[in-house]
Amino acid sequence: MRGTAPVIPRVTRIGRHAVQFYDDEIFLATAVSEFLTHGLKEARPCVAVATPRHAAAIQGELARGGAMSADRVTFLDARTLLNGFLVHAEPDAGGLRATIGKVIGELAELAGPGPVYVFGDMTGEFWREGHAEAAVALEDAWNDLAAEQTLFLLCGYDAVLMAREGAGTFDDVCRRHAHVLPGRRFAARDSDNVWLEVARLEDQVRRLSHVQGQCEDLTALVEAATDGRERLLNAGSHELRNPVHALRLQLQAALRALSAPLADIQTVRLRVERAEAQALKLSRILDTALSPASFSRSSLDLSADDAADWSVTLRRSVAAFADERHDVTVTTAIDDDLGACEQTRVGQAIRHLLNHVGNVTRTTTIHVVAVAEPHAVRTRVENGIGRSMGDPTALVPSELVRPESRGGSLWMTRQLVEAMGGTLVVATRPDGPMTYEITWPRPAAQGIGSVSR
Amino acid sequence: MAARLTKRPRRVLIVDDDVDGVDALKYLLESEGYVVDSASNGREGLQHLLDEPKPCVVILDLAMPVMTGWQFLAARDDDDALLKIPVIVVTASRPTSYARGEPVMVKPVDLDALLDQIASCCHPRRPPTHEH
Repeated sequence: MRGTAPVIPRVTRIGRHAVQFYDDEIFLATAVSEFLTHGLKEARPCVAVATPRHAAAIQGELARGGAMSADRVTFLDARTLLNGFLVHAEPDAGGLRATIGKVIGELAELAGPGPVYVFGDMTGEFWREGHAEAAVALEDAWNDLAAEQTLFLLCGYDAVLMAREGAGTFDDVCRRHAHVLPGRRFAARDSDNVWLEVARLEDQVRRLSHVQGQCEDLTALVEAATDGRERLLNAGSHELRNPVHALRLQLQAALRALSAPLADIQTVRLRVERAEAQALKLSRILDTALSPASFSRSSLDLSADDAADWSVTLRRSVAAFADERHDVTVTTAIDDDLGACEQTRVGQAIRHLLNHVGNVTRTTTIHVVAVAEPHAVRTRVENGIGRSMGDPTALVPSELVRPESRGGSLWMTRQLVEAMGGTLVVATRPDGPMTYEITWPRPAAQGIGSVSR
Repeated sequence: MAARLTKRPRRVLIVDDDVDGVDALKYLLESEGYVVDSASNGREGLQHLLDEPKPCVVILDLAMPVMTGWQFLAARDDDDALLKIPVIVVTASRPTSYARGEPVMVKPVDLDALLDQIASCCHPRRPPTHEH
């Protein structure tokens, strides 16, 4: 398709814009009077922008209609109105809006919500002058106006004049109208104004389609919000339930010890202290969970404290590459005192790695291996079992050691990694260690060399 | 709650990696007269079942390192002797797709409800007590 001009030029075509071709003026006058009578029956304002001869014929037809009085139709002289918005002999869309557009607006305001019926005969002036481009431009201006105001617009085109212009111009005219009504020689008149009903239905379909689109947008928003909420709640729920469970059981144990016939105050104190430790852990988890701004996708804005918690190791790995050093291997021991769950396992592992929790109750070793690649730094985190904390490759800077953990989860970790422009992939296999692979753009892609930290 | 006890101490195995929760539950069950063993993952739990005196019930967490609760249950399914030991699932996750038939309790658990469940496993002839 590239380089191929579209066969049909893009034209804004309004569904309420019709053209009536005519072979003789009686035919036109009858068609226009039927159109206006339809509007009068609907108690809508009617405007006829016509040449004096057409106006007289239309008024005659309306008068013959009997019940509907011609004086209820606003007649405007086509030539006078046209002269009011010509700029260098070309129709000006702003001028059309300021003249006939203003009249239509005022009539609509008086009549209340609904369409204004307009017959337009001004293009005929251009056709008679052989100024086809100006006639087509005027139709475009009408379409612009019809997009802004609710109106049924009927144009009258002399089929004899059109025949002189050739097929190209005829096509241009037809493309600018949603409904093309043939003249007497080609078919019967649209006496029942079927095109008006079609236009009305098209309007309705358009409105309903718009509402449908809005509903679909809203549904997508709600689904996305629900999905995000579910993910947050699932991650948060698991993070919170274990310490709440332990807190509750410790308090019940304290009460049980207190209510024993010979209360052991040491046992009570121990249980209360452990309950307090759980409460402290909970408050830290909540502190982290309630600071989502730190994990915006668009930027990573961590305070110094946050950086110490979350990203110092990753940052140092990145910095090593930025300094044109690479092949960084960081191995650190962690404890896993919160327990691991499948969906938060990555979050816990990396959190533990970053926080380096000091409260060791069970030793799990996590290896973080950062490998230089041409355009990326790839970090693989393997959660192995039974590694010694005295691993000679372990590198645990003292400032990383923190006495207690803070909350977090895979969700938050993913936010962090993605905020750094990276990706996080989890791989598992039965009875084997889980592998968490983090990849992010490499700050410096040159200067190969080893680094030891 | 003493009504839950029989003269012969019964053994309970807790398989959970949440050390603090296990610590408190162990104390509470021991104060009820149970003998309590614990394991921090499914593999240790299976080893306990093979090596130690058999418990009357296993309190099982689902999300654990090394071997999850799901894997523990799958391994137990392959051993008829182990299959006779009832399991109560106590988990911090909402097991929306859980359909194995074991009773499931979501943390934080109601202690009395858990004790009733344990009693119904360890003392099957005695109906569970309901204390309000």
